[in-house]
Amino acid sequence: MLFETYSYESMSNLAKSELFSYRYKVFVDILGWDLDTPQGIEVDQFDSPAAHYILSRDDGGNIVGCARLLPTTQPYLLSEVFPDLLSEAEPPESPRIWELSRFTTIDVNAYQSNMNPRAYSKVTRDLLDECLRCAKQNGAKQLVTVSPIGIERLVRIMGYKISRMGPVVDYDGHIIVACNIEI
Amino acid sequence: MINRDSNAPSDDLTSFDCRVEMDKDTLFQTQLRHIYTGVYNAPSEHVNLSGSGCIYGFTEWGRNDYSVISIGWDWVYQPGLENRRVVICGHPFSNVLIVGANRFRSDESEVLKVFIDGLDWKPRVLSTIKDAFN
Repeated sequence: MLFETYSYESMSNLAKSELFSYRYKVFVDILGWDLDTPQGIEVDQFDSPAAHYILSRDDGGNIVGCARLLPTTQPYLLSEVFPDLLSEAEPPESPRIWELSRFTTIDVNAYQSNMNPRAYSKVTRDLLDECLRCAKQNGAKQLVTVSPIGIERLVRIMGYKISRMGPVVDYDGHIIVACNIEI
Repeated sequence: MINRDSNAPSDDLTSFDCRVEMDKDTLFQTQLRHIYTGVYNAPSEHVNLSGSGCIYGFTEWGRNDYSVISIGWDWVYQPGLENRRVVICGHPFSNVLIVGANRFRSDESEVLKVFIDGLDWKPRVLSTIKDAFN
């Protein structure tokens, strides 16, 4: 398994094309998220020069996992799209706090549905480790994330300290929650 | 960042990491409502409700007045155990910060588990299991 880390600016157009195509297959085709995105690619306003990306590839060079990191000093998913997940609190804004989003290790060529967070793979573990390492290198002390509750379980099972930042919400059939992960 | 709701009880405020601080007594006076219960096992998996095979799932409870409180936990259904068929599995997830408890030891989790024991949550789980597997 190969991991690649990029800033938005350092990632080639080819890698961006592969990534956004992979994300479409995962989040729209497989997981059924109702995203306002062009056909065939999944890209949003947070795919900006402030973003960093971690990709995992199999031995054939296919993307089998990805994640996005954003500093909370810029607009980010939790602050702009899901502020209700924080209840009455203000979204964090600090160079020490980054947001983890679009985290997945679904192999689009060998997908099997499994809701049980205890059934995570080594790729998932390694990708999360890479995300925390990358965030730490960029000055982060903690990550915030908007995730399905299965990810919350997964992160704790992997041994990281995670706490909720607000209520769980049924969003278009997906039970999601904002969480804080200590690095 | 401290974000205080002026209508909230004085011992009930939101901490820097957006968790809701409260002492144990306040927590135990709090009424939560059921939000969602789900099953992790795919319904096609071979599970015999009266025989062998555990079923795993999760349940979510919360409160939306004053500071929002959220508590969720995983459970396991164990057909072979007559008196403890449904039990908590692992530590609860919550945005509650128990004043005086150490969040990185098990203190906070144990307080939450005692609180959960006082909720009438198991019938919800059993009902969800029956819907999913029958």
